[in-house]
Formats: sequence, C-alpha cells, structure tokens
Amino acid sequence: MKCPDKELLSAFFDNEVPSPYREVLEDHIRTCDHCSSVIHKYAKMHEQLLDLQRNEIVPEVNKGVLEFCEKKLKTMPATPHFHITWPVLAAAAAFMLFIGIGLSVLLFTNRTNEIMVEVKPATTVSEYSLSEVVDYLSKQQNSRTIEIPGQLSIETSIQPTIVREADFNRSGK
Amino acid sequence: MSVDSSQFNDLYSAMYVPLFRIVKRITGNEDAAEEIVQDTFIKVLDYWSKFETTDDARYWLIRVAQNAAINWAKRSSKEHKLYQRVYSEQHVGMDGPEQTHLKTETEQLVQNALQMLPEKFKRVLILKEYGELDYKEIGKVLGITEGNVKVRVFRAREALAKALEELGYEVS
Amino acid sequence: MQSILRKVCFVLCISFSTLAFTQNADEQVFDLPPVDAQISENLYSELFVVFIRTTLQHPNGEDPWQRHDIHYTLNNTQLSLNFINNDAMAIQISVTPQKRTKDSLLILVSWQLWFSTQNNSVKYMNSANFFTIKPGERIIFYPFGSQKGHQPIVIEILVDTYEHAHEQGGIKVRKLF
Repeated sequence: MKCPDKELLSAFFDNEVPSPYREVLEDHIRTCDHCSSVIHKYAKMHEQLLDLQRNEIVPEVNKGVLEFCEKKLKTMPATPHFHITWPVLAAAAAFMLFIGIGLSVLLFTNRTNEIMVEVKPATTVSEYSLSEVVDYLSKQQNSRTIEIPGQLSIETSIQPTIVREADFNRSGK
Repeated sequence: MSVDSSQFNDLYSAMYVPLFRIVKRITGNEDAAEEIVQDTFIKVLDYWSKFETTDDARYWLIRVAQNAAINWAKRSSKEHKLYQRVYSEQHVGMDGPEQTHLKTETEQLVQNALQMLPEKFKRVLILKEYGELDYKEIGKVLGITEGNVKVRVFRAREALAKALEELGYEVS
Repeated sequence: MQSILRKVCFVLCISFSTLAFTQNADEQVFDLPPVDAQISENLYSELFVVFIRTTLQHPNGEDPWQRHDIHYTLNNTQLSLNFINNDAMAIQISVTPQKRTKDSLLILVSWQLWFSTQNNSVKYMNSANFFTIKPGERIIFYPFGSQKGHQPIVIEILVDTYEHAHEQGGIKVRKLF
C-alpha cells in the first residue's frame, strides 16, 4: 500500500478513521518506518501538550457562583421558542417576491444606491388609541417587543431620520 | 431546556475543569481563566431555556469561553508589547502574556510554540488536546464542518512541530 | 541627543498604544446566542444575525438607558421588532436582509410609528428604505429626529451574516457617541 497523506495519519491518530479503513492503515503503519515515525511525532507532541497541565492545580468549584446560578434559574420564566414554520417561510417568500417586483420597477427608474421613500408628516389617527396599537402589536405572531422605560414627551413636529453607519460617520455626527 | 437547576449543576460539574483547562491554555493566566469560566457559566443562564439539549449548552459554553479567552489574551498581549517596546533594553523574560510558572525548559518551549500558532490553529488544537472533543464536536463549537476540522488539526500539528523546531526543539 | 530620541520614542509609543486601547475600548463584542434547533445547520449559510441596540437619552444628563437584543432571521425573511413605551409611543421596525455579493447586503428597513400628543390624539408615520451595507455595518434610526436635545431615542440595527459573525467570535459593535 502506498503511504497515505499525512492528513489521514493525523485523523488516524485522533481515532477519526472508521473501520475498515482504520484496520488497513494500522497494518500499513506497522510495517512502514515513515508513517510510524509520523504517528510517533504526533504522540510525542500530544504528550508534551498534556504535560503542560500535569502539575496544574484547578481551582475548586466556586460554591458561591453555583448558588447564585441556582437561585437565578429558579426565578426565570420559561421562554417560548421561536419557530420558523414552513407556512411562515412561504408567506415571507411571497412578501419578498412582491417587494422584489416593486424594487425592480423602481430600479429601472431610479439609479441611486438607496431607494428613499419620502417621510410624509404625521397624520392624526382617530379610529383607535395608542393602547389598542400596543395590544395589537403584542398579539402578532412571532412579535418581539422591546419595552422602553420612563416618561417620554414627544414633540408634535418630529422628523425621523434613518442613515447607514458609513454615511453617519462621514457626516461627522 | 426546562428551568431545572439539577441539569445546570450536572453541566457545571462536568464542564468546569475542561473549560478551565482550555481557557488557561489560551490565556496562560490562572486568575483570568477562573474569572472567564465563572462569567461564562453565569452568561449561559441567560440563554438556558433556548438550548434544546445539554450538548447544545456544552458547545455554546466552550465557544463563548474560548472567545472570551482569546479577547483577554489579545488585550494582555497589547499591554505586554508596550512594556517590551518601552523597556526593550531591559530584557523581559516573557514572550507572551503568560504568567504560568513552568517547571522545565521543555514545557516553556511547548507553551511558547503553542502561543506562536495562528489563532485558528490554536483554537482547534486546544479543543482537541485539552477539551478532549472529537472532530464532530469541535465542528459544532467552531461552526465548521468535520472535514475542515480534520484539515485544521493536521495543519495545526504541522505548524506546532515547525514552531518547536524554530525554538530549537526537535520533535521526532 | 540619544536621550531626547528615547524620550520622543517613549511618548510616541504611549500615544499609539493609548490610541489602540481607546479603539479597543470603543468596541464591544457580543456573544451569539444559540440558534434555534428548528433551523437546520444546512441553512446556516442563509442565516443572518440582527443586533439591535436601543438607547434612551435623558435630558437631565443622567447615564442613558440602553439595551441590546440579538435575533436571527433567514435570507429574504422579515424580522419585526416592536418598541413600546405604553404612555407615549409604539414603533414597529421590520428588517429584511438579502445577500448580494460577498461584501454587501441589501437590507429593507420599514417602520411604523404611533405616538401620543399633548391633547391625547394619536399620530402615525411610516416609511421604508433600502440600504446596501457591508456585513456587520449598522443602520441608525432616530425615530424622533436627530436634532440635539430632541432625540431621546436612537435605535442601531446591525446586520451580519451568521457565518461572518461566528468567524469573528461574536458581534463587534463600536460606540456610536
């Protein structure tokens, strides 16, 4: 048998070569000076690496940390898992197809990198209250909510701004 | 996984020593290793309910501890290089951020050679030799395929042998 | 002369190293949470990480309130986030990332904003933008404008591929201010 790649010998040393190839290699290494010297080199390096920890003293398990972790676990509520189901994926794909068609139309008429949609001034809504909006958003499937604390007072004439980091840095803001 | 402290206790007992060894090899510092390992166990609690199995938690622990150790080593290495540059005439005996008191010259050589390896080789070799993980598990920790792990372990060994030779130590 | 040169080198070394430390101190690395087991590993090449950092500035100079969240979504799949302050406002931001080239991503960010006014009426605004960004770059959203003193909230949205973030050892974010 021709000598195998050293990469295979390295995998053999790590017991990562399955049968029956493992047995074939074993037979070869037994009779091949070159391959057995490679295995011997790996074994020696392995011994030396392990020697670094032979006299090592591992600190004892910190009971204080363990108690802290146990207490924290007891106070944690179970978090629902996020499931990506196939119908959701299909709906998302359909939505993106719609956006993609819209984008293609825009691209033919607008060559800029960023397609900007003008932000129109705020409109007053009289059909529902803010708490109804909050309730609706929290009931949406797969919604993720970030609660912002404190009392905010928001001016009537606001101008939302959105910008890429590269442009933010360039503008020196 | 369920919010069950006995599963966590089992994981803590099983992983404390291997994690400490992996982190200590990277940082070369016992105090830093202990701190990083404890921090990682505390961090894992935030994601505890998201793990499907204990194995998922185990791979996450190793990955996060390893990243924290590498970041610590990089920061310490920068501090150390500053001292070396400024006090270059007063030769400092350390080659890296190690503060380990190693008993023999060979152990010192091996430690130095390990530190000389490129990061991706060091990661994979430390996981193999000290974490006692197989190729599949290493792949899960590092987010690479088993095939990639096999190639990296081989290249890491060759690089380590070469580093040892450069430091004047003949392996074979 | 030699001693002067040595002193100059010393000062330069300290300055450059301080700069290096400052750069590093300005950058934080956030660990990636585990990926939901429902997402098969074969899909990891299509997986995106979305890092969101919400900062609330206080007008009286107190330390700002800040929170970060990390979520996953697949290529061309919308991720929706709701930012709620029960008394004052609700914002829904939807992020849809799409792979372009190896070094660029196309992101659709659409948002809706509802807020209460002093006379208890509710006002509504919405918009949508496409951005071409590098993996790991942020989009910065000021829902109430960016004028100093009037911009209580800043929402940073960083989008990266899972593979790139994993390679880096996590999400790397520089300080904004």
